[in-house]
Amino acid sequence: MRPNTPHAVFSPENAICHGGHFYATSTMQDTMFGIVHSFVGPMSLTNADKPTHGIVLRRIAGFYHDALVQQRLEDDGEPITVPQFNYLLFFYQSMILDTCRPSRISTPCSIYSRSATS
Amino acid sequence: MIMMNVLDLRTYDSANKEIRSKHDVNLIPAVERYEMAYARGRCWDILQWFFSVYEILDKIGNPIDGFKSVALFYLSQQASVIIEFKKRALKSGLDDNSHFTLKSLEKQMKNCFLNYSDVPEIRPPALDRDLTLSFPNPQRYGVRKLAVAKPYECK
Repeated sequence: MRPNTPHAVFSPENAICHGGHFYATSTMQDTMFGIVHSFVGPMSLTNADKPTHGIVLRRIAGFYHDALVQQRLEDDGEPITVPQFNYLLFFYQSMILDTCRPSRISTPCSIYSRSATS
Repeated sequence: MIMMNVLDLRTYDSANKEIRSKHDVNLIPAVERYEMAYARGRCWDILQWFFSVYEILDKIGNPIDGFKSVALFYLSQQASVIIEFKKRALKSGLDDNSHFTLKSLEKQMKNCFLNYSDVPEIRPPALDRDLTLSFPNPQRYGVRKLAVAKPYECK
């Protein structure tokens, strides 16, 4: 499921459920909506309290800071590979909890010629 | 990310209510609070970097101060909306967290912007249609990469 997808879990008898979360830059804004919704209505949502998500998101922020602001290099001397500009905008939006779609912003382009798609 | 500790319910919780009212104590471990503060600083840094490399254009193509007119304005709007969401959730019974007060939420929001005096005042949206996390009128803006990056000051 994408982040922030309303869902319910039914089991025919008492059960212990186990799951996980995956964070992608391209869906970061939905992740942020989910965090806001969890904050606003924690008593009416399950899985609302996930202190561990902050660690992962902080690491993603650190990755972008290293790559873009500090322009650190990989061990092999090459620039750190960053997602395409569209995905950077997604990330930029997530930092300020935006919902603006990058397609509405002009001139999408890659920052580095060596770029990944995710 | 900038508001991450604001959106963490542990921020408003404490084993001892009396201590919490007098001191800035909560259930987030000290190390994690430092990590949050550091990550928040890095995100502010990325925002400043973005506007030093790219410029925001208005509808007719003139450059504007993107950091102040877009980022800070928008952050303020989002803070207002989150506070209003929470206010309505508490009123409707969607949330009955006894530790939580709107005053503490507003205080935490303001703490996010301590270093930025240009942030517009955080006040409730005037109309229900403004009660959204969406960016207002994104078609009004464009982005252009600068030929020469501007220097920026990391706070």
